[in-house]
Amino acid sequence: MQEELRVVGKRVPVKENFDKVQGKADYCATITLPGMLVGKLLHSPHAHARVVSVDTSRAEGLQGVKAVVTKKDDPRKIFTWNVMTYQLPDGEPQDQYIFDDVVRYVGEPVAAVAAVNEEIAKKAVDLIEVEYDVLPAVFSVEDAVKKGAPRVHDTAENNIGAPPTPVFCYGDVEKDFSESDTIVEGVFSTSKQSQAGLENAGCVAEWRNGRLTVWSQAQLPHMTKRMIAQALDIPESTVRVIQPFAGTGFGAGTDLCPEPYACLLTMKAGAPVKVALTRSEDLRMRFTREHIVRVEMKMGVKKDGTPMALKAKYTGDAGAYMGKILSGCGVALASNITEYEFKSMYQEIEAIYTHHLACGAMRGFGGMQSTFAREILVDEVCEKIGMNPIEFRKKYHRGVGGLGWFPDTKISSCGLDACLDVGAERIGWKGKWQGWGAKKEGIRRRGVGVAAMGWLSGAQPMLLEHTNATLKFNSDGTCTLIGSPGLLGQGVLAAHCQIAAEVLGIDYDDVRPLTPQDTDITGFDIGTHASRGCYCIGRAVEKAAQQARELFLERASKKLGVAADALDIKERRIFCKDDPEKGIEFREIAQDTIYSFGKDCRQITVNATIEPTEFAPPWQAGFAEVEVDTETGVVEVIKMIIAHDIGRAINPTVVEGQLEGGQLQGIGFALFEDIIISSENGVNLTDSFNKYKIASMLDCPDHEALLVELGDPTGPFSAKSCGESGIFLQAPAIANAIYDAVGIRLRDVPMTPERVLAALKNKSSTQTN
Amino acid sequence: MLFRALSPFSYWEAKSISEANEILFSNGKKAALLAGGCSLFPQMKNGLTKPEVIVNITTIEGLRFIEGNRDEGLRIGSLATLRDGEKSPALRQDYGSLFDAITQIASVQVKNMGTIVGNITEGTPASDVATILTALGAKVKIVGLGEDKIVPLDSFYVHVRKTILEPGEMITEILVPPLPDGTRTAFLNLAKTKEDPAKVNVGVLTRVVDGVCEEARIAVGAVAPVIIRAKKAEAILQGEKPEPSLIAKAAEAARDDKGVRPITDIRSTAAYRKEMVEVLTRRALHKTFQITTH
Repeated sequence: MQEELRVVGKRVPVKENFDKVQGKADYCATITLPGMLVGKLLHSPHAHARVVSVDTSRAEGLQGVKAVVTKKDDPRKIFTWNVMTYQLPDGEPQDQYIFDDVVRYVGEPVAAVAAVNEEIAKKAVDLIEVEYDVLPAVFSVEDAVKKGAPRVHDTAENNIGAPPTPVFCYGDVEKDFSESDTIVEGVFSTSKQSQAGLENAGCVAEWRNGRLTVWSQAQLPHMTKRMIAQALDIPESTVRVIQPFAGTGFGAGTDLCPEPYACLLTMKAGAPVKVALTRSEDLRMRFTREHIVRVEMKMGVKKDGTPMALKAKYTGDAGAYMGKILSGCGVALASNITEYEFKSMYQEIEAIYTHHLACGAMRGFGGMQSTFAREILVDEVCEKIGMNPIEFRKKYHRGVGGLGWFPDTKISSCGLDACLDVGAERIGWKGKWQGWGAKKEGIRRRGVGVAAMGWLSGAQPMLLEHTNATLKFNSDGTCTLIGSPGLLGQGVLAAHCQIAAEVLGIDYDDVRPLTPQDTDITGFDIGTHASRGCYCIGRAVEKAAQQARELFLERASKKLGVAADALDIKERRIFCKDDPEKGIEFREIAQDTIYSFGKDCRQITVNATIEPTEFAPPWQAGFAEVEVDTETGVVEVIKMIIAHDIGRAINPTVVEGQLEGGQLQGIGFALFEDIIISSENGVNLTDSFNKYKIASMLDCPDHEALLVELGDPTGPFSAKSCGESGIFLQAPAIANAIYDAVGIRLRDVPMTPERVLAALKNKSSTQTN
Repeated sequence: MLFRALSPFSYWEAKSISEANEILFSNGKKAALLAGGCSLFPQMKNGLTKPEVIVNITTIEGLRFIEGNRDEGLRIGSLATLRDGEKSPALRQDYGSLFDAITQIASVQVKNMGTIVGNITEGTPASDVATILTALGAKVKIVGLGEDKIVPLDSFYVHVRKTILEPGEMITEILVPPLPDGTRTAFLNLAKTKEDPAKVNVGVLTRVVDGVCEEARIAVGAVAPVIIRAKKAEAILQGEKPEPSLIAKAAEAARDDKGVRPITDIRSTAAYRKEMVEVLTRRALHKTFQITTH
């Protein structure tokens, strides 16, 4: 790793936080424009119905109503809310219209109204008369594939969105299973978690002089622009996406939500329109976590643990549209490749339509689900062969040069051994883990569990990860950093400013990130997904800063009469490496670029483009200590530790914040978060925070996020990612700890007291039989 | 700016109990009483209730108090907040089970707003406070235009969110009886998260004199439209030595009590709730009878 660093690695404050804590930051919720109207949506009460007619006359007649839109106003261009589809050459499936002839889930919009205020808009929505031809609906993947099941889409026979498809397979699994000494398998299920951002889905759209400006919570503003243009059938250049701060994220901003409706409304009303969903609407119509409803996995190992074969199938409950279910299942599959050195792997994915809300993406995309299954099975294998589960993980994980997620990708660095060591030490594994089959007594029993994973820092080379970063210098030696990572509170702008300042030899305060972000200003960027913000965008920032540095040195070289390569920059001063006394202030050069009276004006503005190809996985070990109440089934997490291989933490406070936030969401996923949809009528029964419970601070157990910094040869200042990583290992580590405590293997998330108790009873009845 | 307009209502700040009674009475079902607002405001915002008249009683002096001790009994005024309860030495020292029930409710912010009386008048059978107060044998003082009434809490509820309160009436205070020597109480509950309403809760009071259980009161919440008393279980303990086997029998009787008829909903299942009545009752009784278990 590099010599002494002045800015990188420091716990400097995230600049946008000053505005946020003072209540001065703008969000879609706070944006107000002159003459702005309020938009409201009319949602389908039915899970499946043909929309026979929509009578808007009474709504249009209401004083104060400025526009009502229905499918008549829809240009009828097929599209998808999933703006990430453009990261693949052929894209992901597109199967949505803004308004269709058929509604396919409870809550799907049928019409929208813009009025001078919310009350009138609400009244107008109530005045719209819709005639539905209610059709039978299907609410589970099992029912959906049955003969004669109601069809979600006419084009999808048996509701199969994607038939079982093998991907990235290698070796001969059947042969390797036959040569395995121990084989374990299981069928796992996971829930449809909600991103549950503080700010509900919302946007503002303004159609003016032939241009459409959309204030959006999008994490991927440039691809959002493209998708909006496609849906509205207008040239992409007419659309401008501005991103104020988003009070949500965790993947929620990788899909559109109210944007198409707000756009149709403003184009018809000729005035700006805000559509801000209520919490209930947000929970009913914003795409949720990719719902990999079933994971079937089987693994075989030799007596000494040598991983032989792994076979898995991931079944996605797509819901009404394909959304991100295929990529979600695909990531479950791909991320499962990297962890252990199996001799052969055969994995397949499938997706099935149902009349549920479709899936978007959430932190831990797909990998949560495969990690849960895999890490429990590894625990089972270890018990069967009598191996310490930490030892297995250390011995058989892939390492540098090993296979990444995608064919022909190589792992650039691996700090998992250190993660396992420091995590084990901190949880007190040696004293607490008493070996397999340790007898535990009492009503409340404690246990410890371990799990591990390797994630990614951007989805290259499989997906397009094109990024631009621009630095524009002022005459006082400061600069504006113009990028487009999506402002979802991830704190990555601090890291970007630190990277630029470090390369340039100037201060953190000298680099100001552009906010809000605006596609008319920023260069193309994929945005934030796949934990790419620091690693991918950071590399573009690093490259831009290097280019700017060269320009500054060149100019200083002329002034000082010294070769540029003999110069260095530190603490805002350019000086001769051999003769540090000789030099010039950075700001003097900056001033000269703009106010040069020797006919040599040239404002330094550099843009750097990167298309990363390397695969730099962060690794992580998770340790849970739990206490299981055998009479109530309540699992109390005593301590949860994750040790994360970050490469280098550009800003440790931000990294820890990401990991700790992930811990809470991971505990929610593991123990109680669950969207419950009625299997009778498809209604979301958990459409408020009173019913959909996420962890509060009161539910936060003793937890720690430890950083392992061993560097990575490809990352900016050796950094790897941390955005999603905090959330993965709670569920499998807790599941393994529950087994250690009471000897039950749970296969379903969330692991509620009801399920724990049922499993305990099942175990004792099996034992007495 | 987006807003969520409420239906129009007239707003009164009562200066006295009788003024509040009169406004409430003359407006009948159109009127709502406002104290902490923890139940009223969310319901109004969600359009579940549309009162035409709101009577704010926080302007009445002398209703925010918690007084007494285990020898004299406890009086809780109708404007005492949950946070007041949590901070009250009388609760901490003498009525620990009531403290236990209050302290684990929601968050400090909510407890600063909500009143103890408001918590019990909401009429949800999952109210932790109402369950323990039922076990403690608490009564409520109801003041209306007629004679004041003092009603035991276990005959206060009619159904989910329905109480015996008539238009014009309000609770002015809760009266918790003294705890004679040998009396111990306990409260336990189970919930999905720390701030979620209980899946099931149990409050217990027992009085042991010379090794014999002279009195037992067991209240169970969230298993029926109203909080119930497990009277068969109480009868099993009455006059007996509280041995673990007898306690186990009583806990089973509580579970099998006809009154225990829980539902399956988003929070839990009927079967789990029923089973937990036994576990929580047994544990609460072990606590009051000071039997240690592992």
